[in-house]
Amino acid sequence: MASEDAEKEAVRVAVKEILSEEDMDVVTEGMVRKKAAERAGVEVSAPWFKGFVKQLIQEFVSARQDKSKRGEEEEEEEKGDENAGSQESSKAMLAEGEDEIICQLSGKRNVSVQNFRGKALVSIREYYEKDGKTLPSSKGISLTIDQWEALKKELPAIRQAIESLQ
Amino acid sequence: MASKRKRGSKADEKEDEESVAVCEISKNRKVSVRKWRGQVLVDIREYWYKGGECLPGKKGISLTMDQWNVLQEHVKQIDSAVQRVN
Repeated sequence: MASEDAEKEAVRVAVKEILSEEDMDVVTEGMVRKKAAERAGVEVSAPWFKGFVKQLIQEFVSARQDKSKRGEEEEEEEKGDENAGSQESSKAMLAEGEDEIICQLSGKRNVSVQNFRGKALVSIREYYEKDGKTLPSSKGISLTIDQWEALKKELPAIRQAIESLQ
Repeated sequence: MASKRKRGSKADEKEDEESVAVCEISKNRKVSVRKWRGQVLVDIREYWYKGGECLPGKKGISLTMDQWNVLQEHVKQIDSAVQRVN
């Protein structure tokens, strides 16, 4: 019978591989657990398994977040217009500087128009306080002009859908 | 004795949420209108296609009716600000 430590090591290796293969926006912990169990030859139902995999995922994600902030800005250049509005790095948003807040949707949420590398972005986003500053959080979405125009076009359909649900 | 609602069962999911998926605003982004626990929400979000499924991503925001109304009231101001950038 394999020792628990040897099994844990096999699981650690498997999880690391899986997380580097998978699309982090979509993969779930459950999927990672299942694949890791198969690769490491370990029972998914082992009492220590779930908590251990959860911990590994958290380590991986926080390590990746530190690296990704710099990497994301370079990525945006290559991806082009479609994703130009999806930059999450608060550093990029602050660096550009020009950020006009149009309205407040709630205590924490604003709509702003930003100048991001010469292009206007409509940003619907939550903000948070840090050291007396109000900073944009990663919760929200920045729309390119095309996406904003498309949204405006769909307003009648959206209103109708809202009415049908109320 | 009050009955407990089981989380996650399909019957409960239908009671919790009615989705009227509305429209695409780009290749990967959609606006959907849905009812979540009695509240109507407008969700603007990125979606990913994986294994034939279309799954919501973490980039996005769900607006309550109050928030949505404020947004609608400011469409003209948003447009003006956009003009000023371009």
